[in-house]
Amino acid sequence: MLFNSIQFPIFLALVFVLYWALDRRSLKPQNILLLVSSYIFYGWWDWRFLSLIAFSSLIDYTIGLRMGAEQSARKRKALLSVSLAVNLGALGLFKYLGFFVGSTADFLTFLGFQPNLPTLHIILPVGISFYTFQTLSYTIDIYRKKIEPTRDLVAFLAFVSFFPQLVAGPIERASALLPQFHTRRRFDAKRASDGLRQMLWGLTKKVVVADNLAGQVDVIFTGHAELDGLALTCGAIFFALQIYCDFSGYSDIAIGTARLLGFDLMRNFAFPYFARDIGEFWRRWHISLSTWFRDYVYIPLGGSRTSTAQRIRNIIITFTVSGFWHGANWTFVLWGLLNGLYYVPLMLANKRAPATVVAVGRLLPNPAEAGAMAITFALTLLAWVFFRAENLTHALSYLWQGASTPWLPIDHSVYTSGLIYCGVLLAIEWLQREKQHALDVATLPVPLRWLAYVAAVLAIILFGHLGATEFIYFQF
Amino acid sequence: MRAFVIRTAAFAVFALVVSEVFFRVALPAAELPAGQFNAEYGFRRYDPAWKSEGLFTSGRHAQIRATWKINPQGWNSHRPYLNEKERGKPAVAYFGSSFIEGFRANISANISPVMEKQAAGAYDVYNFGMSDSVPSEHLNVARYVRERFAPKVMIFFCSPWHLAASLVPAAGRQRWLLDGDVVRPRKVVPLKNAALKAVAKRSALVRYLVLNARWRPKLRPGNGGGVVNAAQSSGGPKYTPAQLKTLAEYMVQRAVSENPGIQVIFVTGGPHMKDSPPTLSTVSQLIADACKRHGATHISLLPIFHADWLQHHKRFDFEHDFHWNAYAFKLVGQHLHAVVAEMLK
Repeated sequence: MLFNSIQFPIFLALVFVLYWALDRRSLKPQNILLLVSSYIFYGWWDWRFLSLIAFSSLIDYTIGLRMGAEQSARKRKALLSVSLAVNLGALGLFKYLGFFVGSTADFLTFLGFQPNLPTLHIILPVGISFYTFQTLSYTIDIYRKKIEPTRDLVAFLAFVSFFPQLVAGPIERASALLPQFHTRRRFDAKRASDGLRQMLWGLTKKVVVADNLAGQVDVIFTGHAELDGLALTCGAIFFALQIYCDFSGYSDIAIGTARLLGFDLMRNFAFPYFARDIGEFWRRWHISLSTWFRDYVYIPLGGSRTSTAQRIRNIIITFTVSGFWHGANWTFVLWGLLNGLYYVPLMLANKRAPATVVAVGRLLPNPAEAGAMAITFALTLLAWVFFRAENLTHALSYLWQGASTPWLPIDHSVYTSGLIYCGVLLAIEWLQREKQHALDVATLPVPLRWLAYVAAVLAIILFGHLGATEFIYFQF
Repeated sequence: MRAFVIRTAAFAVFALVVSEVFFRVALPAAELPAGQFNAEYGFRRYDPAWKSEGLFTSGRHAQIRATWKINPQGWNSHRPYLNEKERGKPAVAYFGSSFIEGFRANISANISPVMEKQAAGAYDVYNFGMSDSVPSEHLNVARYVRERFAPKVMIFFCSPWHLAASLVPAAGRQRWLLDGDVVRPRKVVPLKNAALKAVAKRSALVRYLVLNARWRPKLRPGNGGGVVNAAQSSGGPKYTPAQLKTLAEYMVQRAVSENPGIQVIFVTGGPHMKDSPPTLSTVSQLIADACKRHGATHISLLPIFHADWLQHHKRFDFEHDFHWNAYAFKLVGQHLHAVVAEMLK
């Protein structure tokens, strides 16, 4: 079920009413309702893959219990290995097997062989990368003795399949989300109102900005060979804003939905395009994934408490793996690698990314801040070209065409509407950059607040794509 | 909880009111007349009692704005339709879908006023175009028209996909059944006008979402889609040339045999906005062949549109909407007048 479909508000309204009607009883009925509704939510897309979530959840639940009771470090490690093997094995089978078979065939062909490897047509279950990482965080944290295993099977199953964030995150840690299933949730009107605001903003970003830019991006990336540098720069900017609005829009709706049900999910985006260096960008972009990789890949590799050379190695490995997590394509690997390389100058200069929001208390940034933001944005644009391209040849051809043909006598006015969408979005987010989200207007007087909401609703009706297009990150 | 629900509901009402005002005043949503099923003959027309005049708009930003008027007989026309005795002169009736119904051009710029202007009072022209109607319905309308208005000429506009769409069942619509090489009419299931639908039609917001934004919410994946579109789109039913030939033959044969003494014209082909010469589609060719066999006249609009395009490079439709515009109506009206005037001599 898509957040931007007609089914979702009906489904959510039903769940919301039933959920809070069960409030006065024990926690169990509410958790059962969440579990059932989460499975319906997921099964709406393809019920066959429910068994995969259930299987993965049951394995980790059992391993968690066994690990919690086990004192032997060796046996704990063995149990963790089983969890990793099952979860990463499923991920590898559904997501990466075709890629590895294809890449092997390409390599053998390159060596002069004529391989006859089978072509695989495996459907990628929606959200598998997300819930796999979420459930893995549970077993790893038990192994590290950071959390205790839960005995409440319903709570655990609901934690893994929690519908607001099941298919595209935020990827929650067991230590943050699981205890919320064990604690009685109380309805908080303020929190619920803010949840609705965040949902509205997320939907606006998705259907108005992302979906409108998507068409232009497709045209530019498909026909890049006939276009000039100006048009291709527009294409990269549009994709940067498309993927941001698509993904952060999903996260906003997920966080808002969870808040309606009394849950707090972690912030996933914090106005990343106002970052002044790539370090800050990654503290503001897909925060739940960045911190996951930091905690479960970068730190185990040695983290920052090693030599500069090792730190550079660690960061490059982490980013490359992170790129591969996004998809079974060399473009994602290179995208990750590129982001890792962007870090190198910062590490060599031992520069720490600023912790505060840019230009706090000022309307405009100073020239140094503006320059830093522009450079960081330009670096991300370059990387996004790899992320969006069909393959490496396509990406390189796109970049070469843009660099070698800066101007052609073509009609550039077709990009005006896309630039307006980008400009308006960035202007609104800039004004609200110190808030949790751009529609965080709780402090405004009621008439102004309502006008802001109506403006968002009208923008959706007037400019939004109402056909329930899928979110980009569903494929990851 | 109660305060939250009340506040949310209050905002929802506020947003609905603002939207209603917005889509009535600032950006008018499309207005359409209400359909009415004529059970005696088995076709749909409009209900003049529901709303007889309105403003049709098309596109997310109401780029097309045109007035319509439903006459007492229930059709979009600048004039009432009179019987033979009342009018005292010949009449020409034409049948078709939304393309020639004319909601996207002002009521005074449709094919019928263009033809009447050309005719300078020599004959009346009656428009029996109706959105989503297809040849299987046109023949039912033709029977009604023959009995009530006794026209001298009947013009059937038939686009290729409308012929196939005549086989796709739809409530409130006459459709055919193709059984081997035999075609026969299906039983018409009368359309029930749901009360909720009628109320929804009054809402500017609903009209904007459905008619301007073309929002088609699906409760289940794979649901929905108009019947005409079903046949038109690649996902619709596919028919072999032999089946289409049977259909074309059946349609033309019935149109001619059921309307003795009336000149029957079949018009096919639409705007051709390319410099390269157009080619007749398979269905158009089949209809042309059937016309030849049964003594009907066939007119392809392709060369007419193409010649004008080469001369003026002026669009016959809209950027966001492929229905014909007033310029196309003028061109078609002038050409049809030339043909009809010759027939009525």
